[in-house]
Amino acid sequence: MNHFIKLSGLLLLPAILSGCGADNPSTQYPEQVIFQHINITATQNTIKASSEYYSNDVVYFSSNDEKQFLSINDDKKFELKVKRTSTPDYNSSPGYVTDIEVDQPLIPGDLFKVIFERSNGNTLESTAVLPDFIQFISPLEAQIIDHSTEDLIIEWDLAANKNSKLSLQGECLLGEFHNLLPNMISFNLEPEQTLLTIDANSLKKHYGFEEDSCEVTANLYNEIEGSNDTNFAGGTYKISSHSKQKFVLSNLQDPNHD
Amino acid sequence: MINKLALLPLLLISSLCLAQDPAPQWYAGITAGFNHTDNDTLGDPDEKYGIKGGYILNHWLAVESEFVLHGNESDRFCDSAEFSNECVTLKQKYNYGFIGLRATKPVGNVFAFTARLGGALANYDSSLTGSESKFNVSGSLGMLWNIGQDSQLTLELQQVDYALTNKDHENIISSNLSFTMKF
Repeated sequence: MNHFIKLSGLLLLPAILSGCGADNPSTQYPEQVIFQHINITATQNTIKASSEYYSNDVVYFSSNDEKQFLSINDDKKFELKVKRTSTPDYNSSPGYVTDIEVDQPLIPGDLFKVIFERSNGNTLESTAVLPDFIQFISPLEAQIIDHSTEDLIIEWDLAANKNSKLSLQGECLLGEFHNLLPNMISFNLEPEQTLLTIDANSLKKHYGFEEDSCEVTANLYNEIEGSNDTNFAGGTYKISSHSKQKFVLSNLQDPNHD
Repeated sequence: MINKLALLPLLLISSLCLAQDPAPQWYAGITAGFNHTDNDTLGDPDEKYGIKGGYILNHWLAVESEFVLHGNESDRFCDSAEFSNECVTLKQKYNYGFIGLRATKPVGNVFAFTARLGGALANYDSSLTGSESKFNVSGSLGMLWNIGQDSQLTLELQQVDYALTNKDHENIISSNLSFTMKF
């Protein structure tokens, strides 16, 4: 009987051993099977950065030992927030975006390096340079435009590329339903485009907005692609310079009084 | 590592001195098994098969050697569908060679407890990360059944330490069934 007890213990051993020291499996993934996606948007003194990792249905980050940083010109270093979940999460949450303020103005050509320090000691570096900031030519800062009679002409100095984006944001604007922000309108730009004309009396006033005018911000994003560390299975690194211009729009078309 | 290897000849010599039966006996056989430690999605190998042989030093101790191949593993890893449909395939091959000592303690005339301890040179080859070899301590524990005068069946648990690219240790625990014949 004693031998049978010993033998039973022997047969139970694998189950015991298998269960010991279990960690989230994603920490065991070699980086060669992980896809990295970085998105960085920078004004001259602020940065919004997110860096996410995927492999099959696992959002990679799961170990507290693994960290990621953003370094600028190999000098300043900021820790980035990470996703720690093993379930798919396709909706980018603001909680995963790191907001950074820098002391000295950022300039085009600054080297942005996302450093991924793994618990196994491996360090991966994905790099990109900050693209040029687009300068607005029109409208001028604080210019007042009567939209009932004047076209809104937005002009800038650098030719757009396939990834450039333009948006208008203001409390009085009736935004598009698919935008996350209710007062934002987005425009698709063509490569080489440097001018966008919005016909007079075409923008609509937001429901319930009582004032005749409001401050509107034009946002232009000059986006280029960086390089993910070649040890990753793949991924994307998008970095964009964000330029803003504030002006005033008055007498928007009121959809409540058509 | 070198220290562990240096201990083996010493153990052999001391065992020979203790040997009561001067007539050496050789044995050889086949082995097969499956793993219990496939607990991650990287896919540790499931099955294994190989050959083994040994030299019996005395009624309780033998020198044993074994070469085992694991079944190849292939897994696909894909990007989040939000970004792309890109996937990569990771193909993995495992094998090891073992050398060490086997101890046996009879329980009656037919059965015996058996255990072995030694070193295994474990080889891991990955289509994405290259290949690695590592020599580590390997052990096993189980039961032996004398099914005839010169033939035996052994059922045991084996531990082999593999070095994956991203880890220092990857202990694979497997159940093994071996058939050996003395000659």
